[in-house]
Formats: sequence, structure tokens, C-alpha cells
Amino acid sequence: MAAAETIRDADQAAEICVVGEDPNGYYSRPGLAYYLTRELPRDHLFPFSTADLRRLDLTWIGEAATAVDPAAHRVTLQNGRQLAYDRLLLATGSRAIGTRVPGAELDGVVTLDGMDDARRMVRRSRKGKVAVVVGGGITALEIVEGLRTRGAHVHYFMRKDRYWSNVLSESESRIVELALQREGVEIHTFTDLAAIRGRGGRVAAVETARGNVIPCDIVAVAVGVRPRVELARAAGLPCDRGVLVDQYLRAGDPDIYAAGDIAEAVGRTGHRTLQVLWNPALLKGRVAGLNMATEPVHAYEQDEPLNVTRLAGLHTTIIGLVGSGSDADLEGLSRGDSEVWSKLCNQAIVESQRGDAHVRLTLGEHTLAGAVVMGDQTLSFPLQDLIEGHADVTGAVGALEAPEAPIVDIVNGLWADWKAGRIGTAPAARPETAR
Amino acid sequence: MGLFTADRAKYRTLAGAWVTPEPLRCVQCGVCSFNCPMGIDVRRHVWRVEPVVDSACLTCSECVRRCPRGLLRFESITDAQGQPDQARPEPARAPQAPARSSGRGG
Repeated sequence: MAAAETIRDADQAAEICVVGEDPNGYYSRPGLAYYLTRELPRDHLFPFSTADLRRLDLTWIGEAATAVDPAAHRVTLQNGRQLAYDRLLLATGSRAIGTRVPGAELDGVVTLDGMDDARRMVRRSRKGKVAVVVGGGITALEIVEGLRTRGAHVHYFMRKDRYWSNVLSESESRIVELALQREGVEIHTFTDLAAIRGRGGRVAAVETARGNVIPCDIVAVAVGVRPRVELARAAGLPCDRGVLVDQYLRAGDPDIYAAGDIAEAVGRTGHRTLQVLWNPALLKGRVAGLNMATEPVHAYEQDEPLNVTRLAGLHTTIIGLVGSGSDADLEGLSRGDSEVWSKLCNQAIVESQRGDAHVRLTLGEHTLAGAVVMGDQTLSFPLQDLIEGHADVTGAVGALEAPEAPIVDIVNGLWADWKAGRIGTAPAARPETAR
Repeated sequence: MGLFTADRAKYRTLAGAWVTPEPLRCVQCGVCSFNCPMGIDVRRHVWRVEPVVDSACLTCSECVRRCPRGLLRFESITDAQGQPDQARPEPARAPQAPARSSGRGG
């Protein structure tokens, strides 16, 4: 939609056709979390009114695309119809990785890909219902919060004993886990889902690897997502984990572009990374749209990935390099996550809690390479500025690394200096990430 | 009288402030618009990277408080118009397409 808007802005005459298989149309996918928690009714998730769409003058086709023929410039739809194009944008997004345990096909085993999934969850979560949530990252807790708010008793399974271990620090994981427990969520550590038992085709209980049986009504799986590259791959476009796009977001064909979750673009480190983040997706859409409508001369520049989310009720901002390794509860990238976040390699980390804010910084040689702010978010805005702007903080690194350093005060001081122009951008950004 | 000083200060601040977004954090969920007692489409303002300059705005702070990502704040009108105060050195920009070499937003 960002691409469509951008194209329409640039070209009043262009024929724009959006092919989308989601029967609900275009809505805020991240906002589904707030629909689950009842902060928002479902029909408010749509940013474009019918009047807006009419003004955009789009043709909307509610069908799945099944094939792309780059040579013939044609897209084939599920119903057999073919569409001709001058320029094509692939923005097919991600799909949740499901569970493969016995019983996975039972009614009541759910993932959270889109609105229909969210409605399915809501229908099954009332007072008296029992839910088992398996997985990690942001989506797992969005589901936990949603089901809990709607009255279900929630069991949360962790394969090891630390939540989101490749992004959060031990303290941060602990803060989240304690918050979950205070909310009445039952956490099971070192617990693996082994099988799902059914009755009459519906979920009745789960069985853990250790043989424990827990009766339940719904099993939610949030173990990560995979970019939906099947169309691109079948069309012969270059793919790895995602679709390999150049700096103009072209997908190996002069008339085909890719944006959003599937676009595996080269980041500022020179490496290709995947992100399943809303704002970078919008930016890619806008850049691709502009290039499609005019000429491929506008380069996509990836910022330090940032997301602000809510984990067990705690606001959390995550920016840049913050973690490393992989997480036992995630088979793929979580929604709301970026591969860049877990590319830490030997950088220094400082962490401190002051009042309601838990702050952790990753120190590069000359810049702040990453940050996590959990709780009170005041410091997250100065940190966003300093990190995105690649402020030269060389002078403050020593102070930050000192024991009992007043991190909040130092950061506020740096921000004041940055805004006043007393510190500038760091010398030619050397890639701070691991190879 | 000292009794009302804090209130006066608060209302003076609110009367002179706009709801201002940090658009890079927004996911267009719509909680803001949903909670506006005046029916202002706050979400659209954020999409367009505009402060809520709407005569219907009461600065009631519902949107600011309810945003699940805390990306809305009150910014004093005089600050927004000129003096960099709590504001950042350049106006918050939505991820616009291209041609900008500044570090933010591409």
C-alpha cells in the first residue's frame, strides 16, 4: 500500500492493481495485538477508508497470485485469470512457521499471521478456557497477553529457561518473566511440546516431552516466520532466505521489485539481513514504488533497525545491535524482529536500572551500536537519535563503562551535546557487526 | 494561590501544545484515533508526519496515554515552531522515499 500510494503521488495516470489474498484487505498487522487485548475493535485496524481507496484509484483483486512470468510480464491468479504488467512489486510478506508435532492439524491449533487467525483466537478464549502458548519473541507474548486479557488461563512453554535469549539480556528476560508470572501466566521452563491430543477433532490437551499432560482448549504456536518467497523462486528470481534485491529493490529483473518482509536487502554493514519490521517495510514500499513509477535511481538505505513493543505489559524499545546467537524457542525470525539485533560480537555492554527504566547500551568504538530500554521510555528517544545519527560518543565511552556509571545522565548529556552540535557524526561508519 | 499553581501550569502547558508523533515507531494500529473524544484521525496525522494542529483537539491526552508504543507526546507550539527545546534538531520524518542523505529514515 505504501508503494501504491507513492506511485499514485508520482503518476496520476498509472493503472495500479493490488493483488492480495487476505480477504480482510489492508490493515495494521502489528495492531492485531491490540485487538487481541481489546484495546481496539477490529474494524479500527484499517488505516484507509473506502474514500481513501477510491481517491487512490486502485483496482483491488482479492485473489492469490499463483505464478509470475517475468519474460511475458504476466501474473497468473488462483482463478486462472492472467494480468499483464509493466512493473511488478512482490510484497508477499511472511508466514508463521507452524508446529509439526502429532495433532498439529486439530481444530484449536493456531498461529498469528493475520486477522482471520486473530478472530479464531478470540473466539476460543474466554474465562474458563485454557491456552498453551509455545514459542518466543514478540508474537508469543502478544498472544499470551491477548488470551489472558480475554479470560483464558495461559500456560507459556519455554524450551530452555530464558525468554528471547538472543535479543534480551538475562536481566531483561527475567524482568519480563516476572511480569508474566505476576499477571498469572504459568511459565513452564525446559518444556517441549511433544504432541497435541484431540477429542472430536478439537484440541483437548497437550503432551510435553517429559510426558506431562495439560488439558487445554487452544494451542498457539509462535516460533517465528519465514518470508513467502515461493512465487519469486518459482519465477526464477534470485532468492536466499528472502528475495535478493539490489539497492533499488529490484529483484533480479528490471521490471520486478520486492519490498517488505521478503526483501533481503543489503544493510549498512554490507551484509544482507532480514527484518520483519513494519516501518522498514513501509520505507521499502515507498522506495520501490518511486523507482517503479519513475526510474530506479532511488536507493534504499537501511537504518539501524528499531522497534518498540510491549512485553508482558512492559514497553520495550530495541535498537541496533543488542544480542547474539539464537533462541531455543524460535525457528525463524519473530515478527517485529531484525536479524541485525542478534549480531553482537565482542562489543562492550553496559546496563543499568534507574527507577522505572531498565537501560542497556551496546558500545561501539565510536558510536552507540545498540540499546534496549525497558519500562519508562523517556531515554529511548535520545538513544534513537544518537544511534540512528551515528553520533560520535568516543568521549563518553570511558564514563559509560565505569562501574556504577549514571548511564541515564550520561546519555542525556550526550543528547544535549548532539543537538547543540557539540558532537558530530562518528568517523566513516566501520561495520560494527560480526562477519 | 499556591493551591492551584500546579494545575495552572499544567493547563498552560497543554493549551500551548500540540500532539506530536515519532512516526518511525508507528504501526498504524489506530488506538489513537479510536480514543479521541473529538473524532480526530490522529493516526492519519502520524502517517503524514504532522502534529495534530486541529482546533477540535482538547489536548485531553487520551491518544498520548493510550498509544501502545508511546510514540505521541505533547510538544509546546513555540518549541515546534522554532526553538529547539525538547524537540530534536530536525522534524521527525516518516520513512519517505529517497534522496535524503541524513542519517535517519533514508
